[in-house]
Amino acid sequence: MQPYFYSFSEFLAMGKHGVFVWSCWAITVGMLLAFIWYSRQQRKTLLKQLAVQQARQAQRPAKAKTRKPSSVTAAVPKSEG
Amino acid sequence: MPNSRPVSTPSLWQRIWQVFLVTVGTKQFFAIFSPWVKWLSIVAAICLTIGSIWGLAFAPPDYLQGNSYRIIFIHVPAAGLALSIYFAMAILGVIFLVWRIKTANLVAQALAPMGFLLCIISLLTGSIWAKPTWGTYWVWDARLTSMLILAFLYAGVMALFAAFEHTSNRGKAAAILSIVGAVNLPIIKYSVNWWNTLHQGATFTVTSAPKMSVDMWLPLLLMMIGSYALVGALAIYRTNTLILRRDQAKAWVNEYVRRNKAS
Repeated sequence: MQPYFYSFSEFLAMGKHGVFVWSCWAITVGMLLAFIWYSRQQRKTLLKQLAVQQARQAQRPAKAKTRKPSSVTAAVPKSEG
Repeated sequence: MPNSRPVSTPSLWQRIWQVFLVTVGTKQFFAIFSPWVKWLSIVAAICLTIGSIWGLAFAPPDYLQGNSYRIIFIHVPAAGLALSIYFAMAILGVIFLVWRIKTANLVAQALAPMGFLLCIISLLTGSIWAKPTWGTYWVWDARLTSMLILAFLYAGVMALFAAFEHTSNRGKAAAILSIVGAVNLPIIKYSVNWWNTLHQGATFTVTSAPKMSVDMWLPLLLMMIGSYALVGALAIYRTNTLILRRDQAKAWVNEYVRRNKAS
């Protein structure tokens, strides 16, 4: 298989359509990468927040001990999914 | 539901249904689909890279449109996925409203911003492509207008998810709009057949051979597969984030957070 374009400058120019083709690619790649980054950031922020909550709860062991381990209830199927 | 009937031995069907409800629970979804994110991302990265290079540098130009047609390699997968995602949201909405399966609602909530993003990408790339091809960025043509309405529907669904986030009716309104808005999907799909539009008809149909040469549609097929894999990976990842947030009081989430912090 051979590239359609003979030179790199021709590849960039795309026969007068370069600005349309490359702007499309730039917009799409930019938006997708931003969205992936945003999704990762959401997860990281949440995990950090939950870790802080956990550490705070660990400082109050008296209250935590009165709660039963939820593994008993987890085995019962609920209709709420 | 179990409280409404007198105590009796559950039928086989009821037992199967209970097992099914457990397997679609949030905890199970998280456990089953978490490993998929990595593999789907790899498939997406490979397909999209090869497809882009092939489409941009190796595929021959169109005899009428020249090189501007290369936008098709983004435009068609983005538009196709914007429709597929809305369709998926409508089905998930029905599943949530009828069987009260929370996971379906969370998947729909994770999908909505992705569908919106892809709808905007398809509108933008289509608009840029229209300039050299039709001589204008925008016409109020049936296909373009119905696609713009789809973007507004996505925005509406996202707004409803956000508005009812902390209420007991969480996700219900968004599910209803997803279902009602699905009426727009056939309109988008068949707009190029029902009305005289500038937009060209479908290049690919299930029933007939592609109206493109092989060295043009193979990279497009790669881009299609790659985008579906990317959307799949992102959907699972974002759903799992929502699951972690929703089930944060549950023991398994605490365990997960603890292990995550340790590693």
